[in-house]
Amino acid sequence: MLIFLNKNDMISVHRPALIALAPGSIQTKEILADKLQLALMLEFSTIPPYLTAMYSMQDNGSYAYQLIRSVVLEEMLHMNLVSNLLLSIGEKPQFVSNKYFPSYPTHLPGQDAATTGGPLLQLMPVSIPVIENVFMVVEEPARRNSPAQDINYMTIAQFYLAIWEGFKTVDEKMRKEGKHLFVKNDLQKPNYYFGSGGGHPVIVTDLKTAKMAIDEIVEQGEGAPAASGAPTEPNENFGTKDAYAYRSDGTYGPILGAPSEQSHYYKFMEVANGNYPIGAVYPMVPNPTPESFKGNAWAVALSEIFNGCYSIMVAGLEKAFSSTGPDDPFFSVVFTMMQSVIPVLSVQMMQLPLTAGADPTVGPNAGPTFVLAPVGLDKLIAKVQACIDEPPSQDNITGVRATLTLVKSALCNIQEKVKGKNYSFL
Amino acid sequence: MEYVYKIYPAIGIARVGDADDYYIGPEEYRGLPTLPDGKPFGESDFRDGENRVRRQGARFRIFKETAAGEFVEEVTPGANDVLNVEWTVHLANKKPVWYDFQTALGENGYASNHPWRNAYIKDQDARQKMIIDPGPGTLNGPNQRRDFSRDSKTSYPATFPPETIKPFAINTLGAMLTDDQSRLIVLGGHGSSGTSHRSPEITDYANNDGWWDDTSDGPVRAKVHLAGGGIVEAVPAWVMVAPPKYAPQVANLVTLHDTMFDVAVRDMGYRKDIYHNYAWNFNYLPDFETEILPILERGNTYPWVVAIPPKPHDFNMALLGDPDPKYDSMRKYYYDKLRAPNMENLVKSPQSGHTMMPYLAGDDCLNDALSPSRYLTFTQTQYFMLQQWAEGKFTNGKPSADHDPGAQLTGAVLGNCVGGAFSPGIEMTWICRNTSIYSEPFRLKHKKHVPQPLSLDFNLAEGLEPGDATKFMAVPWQADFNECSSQPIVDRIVYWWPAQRPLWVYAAGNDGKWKQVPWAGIDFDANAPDYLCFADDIEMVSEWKNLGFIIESETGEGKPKYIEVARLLQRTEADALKSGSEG
Repeated sequence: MLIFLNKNDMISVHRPALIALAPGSIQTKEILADKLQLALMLEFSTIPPYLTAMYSMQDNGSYAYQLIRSVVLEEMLHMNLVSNLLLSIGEKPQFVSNKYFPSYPTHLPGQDAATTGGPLLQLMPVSIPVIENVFMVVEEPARRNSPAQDINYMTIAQFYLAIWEGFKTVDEKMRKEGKHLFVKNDLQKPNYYFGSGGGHPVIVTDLKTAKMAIDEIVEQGEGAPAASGAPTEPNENFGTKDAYAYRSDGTYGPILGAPSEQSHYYKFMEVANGNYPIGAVYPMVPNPTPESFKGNAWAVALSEIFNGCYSIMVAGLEKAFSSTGPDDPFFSVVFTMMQSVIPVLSVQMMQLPLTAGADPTVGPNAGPTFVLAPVGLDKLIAKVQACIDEPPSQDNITGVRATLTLVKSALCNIQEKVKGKNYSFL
Repeated sequence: MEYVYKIYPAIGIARVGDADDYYIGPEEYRGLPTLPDGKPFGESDFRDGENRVRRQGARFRIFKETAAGEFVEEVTPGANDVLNVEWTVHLANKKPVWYDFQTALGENGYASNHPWRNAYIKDQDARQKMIIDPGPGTLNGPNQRRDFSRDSKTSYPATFPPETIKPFAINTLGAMLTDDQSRLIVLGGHGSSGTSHRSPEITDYANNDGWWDDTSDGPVRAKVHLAGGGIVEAVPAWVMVAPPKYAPQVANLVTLHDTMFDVAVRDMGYRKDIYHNYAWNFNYLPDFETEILPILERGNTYPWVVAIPPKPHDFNMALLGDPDPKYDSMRKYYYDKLRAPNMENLVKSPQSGHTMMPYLAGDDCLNDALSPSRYLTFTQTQYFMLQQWAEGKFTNGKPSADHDPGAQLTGAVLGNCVGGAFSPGIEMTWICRNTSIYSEPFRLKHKKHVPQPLSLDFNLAEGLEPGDATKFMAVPWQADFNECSSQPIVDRIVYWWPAQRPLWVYAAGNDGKWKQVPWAGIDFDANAPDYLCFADDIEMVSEWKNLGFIIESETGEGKPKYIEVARLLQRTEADALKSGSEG
């Protein structure tokens, strides 16, 4: 049910307004660390649903695809920023070992659906309702002067406001005790985030830089606070500048001199409004699970491989943020998985019907399930090789084999690069 | 021991300026010009005391080399058995008598129905009189000067356009002078363009009948007089006179050196360690510092002269220059975005859907050609190097190969020129991809006996005569220079040669804040005639000399790295309004 409070609240019609809980409950470093681990999973948990929606779009060159892609890239930056915040206070960012690790469908970590009516994150092929009723709600701007909320937050911005207040409170408390909240280490990552995404990683060393990191997360998501008093402001200040987009005159080119680019909320709104067509979509089954693939042996096999790779990638991320120099597996393992494995496997699965022999243009088709199910790198490679040598199904052999060959080459590449490293997560 | 005397650079580049005064063109890749007295060049040196644009002189020297091509020394009269050097230069402009420039048509020979410029003048004598040809000039000894002007006293039957052409008369193609070391400096024209038509009008970007400009090209020869009485003819060079390069420290993604190097590698057996018998050598390890980094730096520097997002062009050079296999995926991420030479019509990567780089216009995007070449690509050799790099097959910091001052000077001068897209280009066009114009890599083949008057055709077997290297280019050059700013292709707008002809630059506004503003034009509406250029090409004929140059700034807090200086043309109110909206 939608409740209209007044005209100015039109933007917040997605869910009922609730009375904020009392702020200021982040009083100790332990609670702050716990909330930051939650924030890390909050950022993380948006990625599989966004990626699934994105991969379900058949034209990866479409503007809508690239818009969603830019959002995903920035969510990865946010994970980096939250990790840096954690490291700045001497805590290790947790991924596989995080108690808030998502399994889908799920609510945002820390959001209790019963009280906030928060969105349910599902693995769904893209559609306008998914963008409008889930993604836009996730990225929904806070109303002006909304209170901080460290639990059952209404908007992500309010949760981060609580974290910011926590930083200030704990910093002040510890100072009085002659201690320091911020610790020096070289684990924060300045160089993981490159390419076309907006924003930049911040190395957090004090309250000022902590604020910068938090502001960047919030503004990229929902937009910068409006000076005019408008309930929402579509721009964020941490963009790539001079972003390319369609202009008011209908031409595509740089938006000259733009100091900022569009927020996630605004980008999703543009797609939801139909300004950028979604185009053809793979008919992926909603919320696929490994069990739902029983009717197609290829889907079963690929799902196992996908989750094995996903598990390595997530465990690799945890390792990356707790290591430096030659021990850091980000570029050798994690980035290779992100670039060369996850996308091809996802798109391949979305072209496999749940019932072998069914028309994949009709569906319903399989899809990535994003389940932690570690297999180990060597076994994973053996599994891929076995599928190539002795295909579990005769359907679509050429296409799947080609995909698996790409996957195998990427995995062997990783194997080659981590020789002698003795990574326990592999 | 037998020695060879060679003129360097193999191709020198002079540039027009309305001043009589001059500076020496950059002899370093992405370097600033130098002043004739050797003093450091500053932002006030682009113009003379009367705010006129100084001409860029092309300086030539003679290097003594062993028969095996090893550098011995620079030839200096009065030292090491050399008595004297005698230079001969012959500039000409043949643009009005050549074929129309129609993008790629002509690169592989012209069709019989390909239109000529000034086709209504059929008489051969009359056509030959349209060539601007002041005749050859010779200087003997240091500190001499000879002008290639209408009033220069010579027995040669010089030909110049009518004195009455408008808006600017052409009375000279330039001059040659020698310095106190007997090095040669060639100067070009004053950027004067004019037409014999009653009311000057420009209707086409490249072909305008009745028009002349004062760019030119021609052979540079030298006789070395030895103490023993002998006279040795040095291996000759060529000089081309081009429009100004407004951002001397910004290089094009594909330079003229890259393109000529590619020809030399693939067609002339120049580097058998890279390519031999039609096969690439996949064991060749390019050096990051010298063969890869410059390409990345070009992408990194473009945002100062065209409004492209700086962030994606900001590369972590330390990681990208590390051959450690753990960075394979990162290098591949960039490599996958690069447009291969055979992908000239792809704007989105088939793998990722990303916009492919370079985001620049290609050779043949203007016509509705059946097989267009819409977007610029790397040369085959550049792409091969990038491919090796992406796979981790490269070195970083290998000791630099044998230092060859001659090759280095030629490479630096050509490295500051445009190597594509050739539509038609800035200094030279696609003819530089034709192996038969060369006598050896980077050196144009000279016609032994230059006819008088100069010929109307083009005998590639005999070699080039004055005017043959630049006759393809737009006439007047200002027309193409004005129009070739941005280019709508399908549903996107791409750019031409931002390093030579900037699109957007950083300039200080009235409030003292640095703003990114259009170099020429208003930039408000991409469909407007004055989007990033003057509404009428003819404005460029007079305004080119009032536009600003882009120079590396002395780094200061909040100051852009490259800024516009020495601009005379006032920005309009609309520009100011637009730039004011920037934060």
